[in-house]
Amino acid sequence: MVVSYNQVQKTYPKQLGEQAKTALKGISFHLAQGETLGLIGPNGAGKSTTIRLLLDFIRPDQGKILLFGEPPGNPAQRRRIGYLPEVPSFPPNLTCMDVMRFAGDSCHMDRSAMHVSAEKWLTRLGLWEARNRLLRGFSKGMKQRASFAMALLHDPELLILDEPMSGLDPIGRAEIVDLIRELKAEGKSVLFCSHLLNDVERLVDRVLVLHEGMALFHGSIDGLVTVSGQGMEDAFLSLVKGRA
Amino acid sequence: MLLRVLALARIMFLDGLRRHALLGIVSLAIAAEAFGLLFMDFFGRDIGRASSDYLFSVMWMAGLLFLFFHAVQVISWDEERGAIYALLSRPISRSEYVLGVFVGLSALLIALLLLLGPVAYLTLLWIKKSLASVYFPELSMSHFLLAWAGVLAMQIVILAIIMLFSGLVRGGFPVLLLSASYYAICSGLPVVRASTAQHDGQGLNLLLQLMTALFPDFSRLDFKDEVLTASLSLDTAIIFTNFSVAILYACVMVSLACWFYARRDLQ
Amino acid sequence: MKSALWLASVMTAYACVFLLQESSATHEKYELSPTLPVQMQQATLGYFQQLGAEMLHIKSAVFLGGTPSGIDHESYVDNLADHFDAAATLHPKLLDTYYLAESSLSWINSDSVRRANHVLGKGIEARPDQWVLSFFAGFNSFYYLKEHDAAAEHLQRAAAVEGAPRWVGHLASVIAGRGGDIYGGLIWLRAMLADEEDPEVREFYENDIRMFENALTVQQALEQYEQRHGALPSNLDQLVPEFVPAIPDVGPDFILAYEDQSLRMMRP
Repeated sequence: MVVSYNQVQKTYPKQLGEQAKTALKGISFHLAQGETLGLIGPNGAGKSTTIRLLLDFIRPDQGKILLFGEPPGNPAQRRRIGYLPEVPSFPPNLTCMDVMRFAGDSCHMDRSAMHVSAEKWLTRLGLWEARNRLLRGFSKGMKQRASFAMALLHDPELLILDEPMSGLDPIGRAEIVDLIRELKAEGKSVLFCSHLLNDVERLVDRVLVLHEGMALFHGSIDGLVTVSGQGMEDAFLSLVKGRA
Repeated sequence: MLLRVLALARIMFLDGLRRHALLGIVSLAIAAEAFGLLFMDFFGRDIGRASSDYLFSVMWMAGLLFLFFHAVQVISWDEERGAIYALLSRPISRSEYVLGVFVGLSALLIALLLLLGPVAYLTLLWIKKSLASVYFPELSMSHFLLAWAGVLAMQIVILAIIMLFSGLVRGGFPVLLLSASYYAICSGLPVVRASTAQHDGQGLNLLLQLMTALFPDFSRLDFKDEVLTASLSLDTAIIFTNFSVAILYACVMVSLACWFYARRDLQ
Repeated sequence: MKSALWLASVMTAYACVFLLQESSATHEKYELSPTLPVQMQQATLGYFQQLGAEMLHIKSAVFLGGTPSGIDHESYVDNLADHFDAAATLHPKLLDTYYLAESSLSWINSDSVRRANHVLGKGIEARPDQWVLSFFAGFNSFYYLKEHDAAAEHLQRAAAVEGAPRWVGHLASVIAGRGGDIYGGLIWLRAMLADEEDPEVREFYENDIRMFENALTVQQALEQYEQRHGALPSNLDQLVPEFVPAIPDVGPDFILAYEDQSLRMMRP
């Protein structure tokens, strides 16, 4: 297993003027090698919390998380991960190549290999001409693609994509969908989080449906549709509303 | 580990270098140093001393502006903008992140002082050459470098404290308040110690001594008065001890910052 | 159009009110704003202490430069002295503080002279290489306060500083003698003679030493008279011939004066 969650619980502590919030209530799922798992759910379902726990941004209160067979606290494991955050953000006064160089150095990539990889991915994502421009001048879509290039630079085994189509026009979205398909074909494992159920349906092997911190469904798309007897979107809505 | 820390330090350095606000601080500081040529006109005797004090004060002020208006916000900016996720999704530990930020900001501080230091020295040379020797009898480059190093050491200590507060609390403004309060205590504590030194209260004096371990006496790194002397009035061993205390203090504070930040949930 | 009218009327109203304010503001009283307690300044200024002292100096200098004629100097002297005191505490090595304090405080009243000397004391401690600070203190004690012993002490300290002019030491001796410390003056003259190589100056010192030695015989006679009679004589003639054969001549540079039962070497 690449990723394994076992009865994981996470509560955000009480803040001034706010109540404590239980974001995950004992969820369990797994992601096998070469598999693509779609993580779907309404806003506040716990999707981002699930991803943050995996990347050791936050720590679980209970339960066990394994990443490549080990707890996610070891930063060296992230050498094997490429992460695309929902809102791509960088220190604003850097250029795209500055970020690529940082990404390469952080993974101890050879400088020439880094340049080759950066050129490959920036060209593929249409950013090669803009590589020496400051990121603060990039549009949202350009930042999204730069973030994707950073995630792919070091040839990771596991891709964690949080809303990868966000901010892209239809052409850009189609290009990303093709890219994800190629990465899947290369045998990479993908944890894919999106609100766009059409994209989820096209790309993932299995799906995890979250709602209010609970896992409502974990299985194949066919299984989800078969259980409810409806299309994926209807199946998702009836699951969530049934629980609400 | 060193490569990762340096990689992060490099982007912190580049990001700071290209910030317009920091360029503004540099421009303001250079203009203020040039004003030293006019400041000396207010004095009739100790022109060299007044000019030297003024120029070092400009360097100190520029460093403080950098620390309290840029350094205090770096980690909170990364967190608020979400850049922290892009950075920590790489195989970089929390401690390496804090170290990388510290090294990057230190590099910016050194660059700032490397720019302002020679300008200050050249200004002093110009003033000295334009006056009779009685008004500016001595200017020692080695002692100037010592005073410059003292300014840098003090500012590195404050930067280390800013890292600690950044690791402890969220938000740039709370870090600014805590850092400013810390600086105020460091400035005021020696005055309190001097006032109570003549009294018999051993317990009080011991308490104040312990507090000085936490809130260092920056005047021990203030070597402005030595710039205009041919020979040092302080023992070299004392100077070495003072610098060693500052360096070790900064190491302790940055280590604590790494420790606290490694245990914090990112929000 | 409306916003332009609004802007014009607001600006006009402001101009009118400002002019009204300016016309009612009076600038009759020329005063120096007080300075904060020095410990508060030390605590808040930190690394800027020295610059703080220099700003106090500039503030004082600007104030003094603008004092109108006829101003009552005693109205600002305490405040001004506080400024110099604070500046000297914050940055005892800055010479300008002491020069300005000496030139602006010493001539006003006896309290201000003492405050000037108090400030100069800090400079003397911080800048032992500067003979002129002790000289200022000595001059103040001699000329304004008529405290000859203190003056002689200050001048002797000034004379001991490397690079001090020779006449400072001589002045210390003369003032010691004027103050009644003839023996102290004599010791100092002998010390200066021992260090002097110039034959003309040596002759000058030797002449003064002879005069002081002559005066010392009278001093010793007075002490013997007091021992014998339990009190000092009312005039020097009572010493002759039992305690001294004759009152010696110390001229033409000095005359012996017996004032308030104290023997002094005065200038004629």
